[in-house]
Amino acid sequence: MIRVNVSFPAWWDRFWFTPCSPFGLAAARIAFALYSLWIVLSRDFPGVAGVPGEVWATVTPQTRWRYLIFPGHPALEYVLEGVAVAALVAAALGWRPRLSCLVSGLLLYHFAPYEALLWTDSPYFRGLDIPIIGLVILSVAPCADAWAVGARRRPHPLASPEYRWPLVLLQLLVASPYFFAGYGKLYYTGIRWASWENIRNHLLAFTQDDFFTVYTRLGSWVAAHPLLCGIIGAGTMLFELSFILSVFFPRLRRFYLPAALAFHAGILLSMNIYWLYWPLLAVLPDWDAVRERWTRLRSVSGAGASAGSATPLSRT
Amino acid sequence: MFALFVAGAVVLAGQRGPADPDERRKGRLSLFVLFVVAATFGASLTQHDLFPFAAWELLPRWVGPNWTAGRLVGVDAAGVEHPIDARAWEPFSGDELRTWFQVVFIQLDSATRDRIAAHLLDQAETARRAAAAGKRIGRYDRFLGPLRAPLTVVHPRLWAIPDSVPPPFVALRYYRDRWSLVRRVRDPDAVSRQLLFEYRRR
Repeated sequence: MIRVNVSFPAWWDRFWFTPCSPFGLAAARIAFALYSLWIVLSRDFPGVAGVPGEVWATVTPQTRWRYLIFPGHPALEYVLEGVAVAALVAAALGWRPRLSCLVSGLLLYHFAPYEALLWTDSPYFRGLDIPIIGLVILSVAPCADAWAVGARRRPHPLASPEYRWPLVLLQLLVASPYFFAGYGKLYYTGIRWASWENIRNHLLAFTQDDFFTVYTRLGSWVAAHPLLCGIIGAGTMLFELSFILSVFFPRLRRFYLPAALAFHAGILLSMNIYWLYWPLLAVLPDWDAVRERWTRLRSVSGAGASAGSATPLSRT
Repeated sequence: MFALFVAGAVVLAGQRGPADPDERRKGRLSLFVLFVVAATFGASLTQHDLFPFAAWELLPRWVGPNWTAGRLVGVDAAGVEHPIDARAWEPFSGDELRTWFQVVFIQLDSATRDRIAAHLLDQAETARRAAAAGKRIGRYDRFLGPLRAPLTVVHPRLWAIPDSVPPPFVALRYYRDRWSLVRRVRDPDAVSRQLLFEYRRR
């Protein structure tokens, strides 16, 4: 008989505080900062502040105070946007990370609702929700001990639990939308969501509506095959509900990472829906292994064998 | 919730410990971790808004056999209707503007609706003229060009070449389109359209 002796405090300590190298956390900092920069530079949040006042009439004062939004001052908003961009560049470079991550997180919280505030005060799924939480978490963590401005001049950092808990928290944050997307389907519709009929109707709706019909062939073709629709429905639910396991069992990432990219590409090509957050999946790979492989490659090519003399550190 | 989260982060950042944190520091970090996990899972499991902790309702509903969608079109001097390139609405996101029309605009009083429609018609016309002259339209491309982050739903670039740009607009119409998803596979024109609003330039 096998006895399973699981102590929750011991598991908790092991899961969150096993010492690890700074590289995974540094990669997460760079991914979150560059991704957020990509979103901010691809929108015009201050421009929305300058639209006619009537448009803002239905936004309640509580909501305006919640996000500190006072329309009619686009010039001020452009200054704040400039500060956000500077803070994100500093965060990506690892310069004053505590301040730059916190400032950019707070400013993104201010800007995030601009796109959707006109009709909803819950602007999630528009690209900035996960980064806001992530950047605030990074402001607590020593995320610039590697791959940062000036990091080479400092002594090589030792493995530490301080590099582990924020990285795992960010991984959980990036993985949780998959789980909750599956949970939401069960919550609102039940297992019936995965039926071929529902999948067919989703595909047809998103390929027939003229407003967003960029890709129509794949969705229309799949919609005409009930068996394929059923497989996609069941597969989607299974994938979404199980993706979060990759946080707890890192070996699974070899499957889930490419599967997630293929999943998002499939949804884009069949339903015209773009998963903005895909670059944040960069928090999941084993960056120590990537670094070691890169160092070995450079040694073999003779392009500076001594440059990356990595000290083996325990991995995430 | 967000204020609590930030306050916790600021307190912890001020107490950053050594490479090997003691039990006290681990206890505080555990509390912070627990808070973030509880907020993340709490918002989603109860399907309540605690932004930035989100409910992540991603297409969770049953889609029935019929589909309804709002549609904004420009009207030229000859009375011909033309779809409008989504980029013409920037700095609004086309998706959000469409939902806003459905949820908010249609319930405003007629004078307010006319003032807003006049602004939107000007905006659409400015973009149309720029596209006809082969210039960039919209605001989102201004820094990153084609590398910009798309919207959550991608839209066709209807006015990508000057030849595809319609004649000047004199009016804006808002329709509610309704169709049977299966029937439209066989007949793409099988759409019933209800005119909900029209604004004509005076």
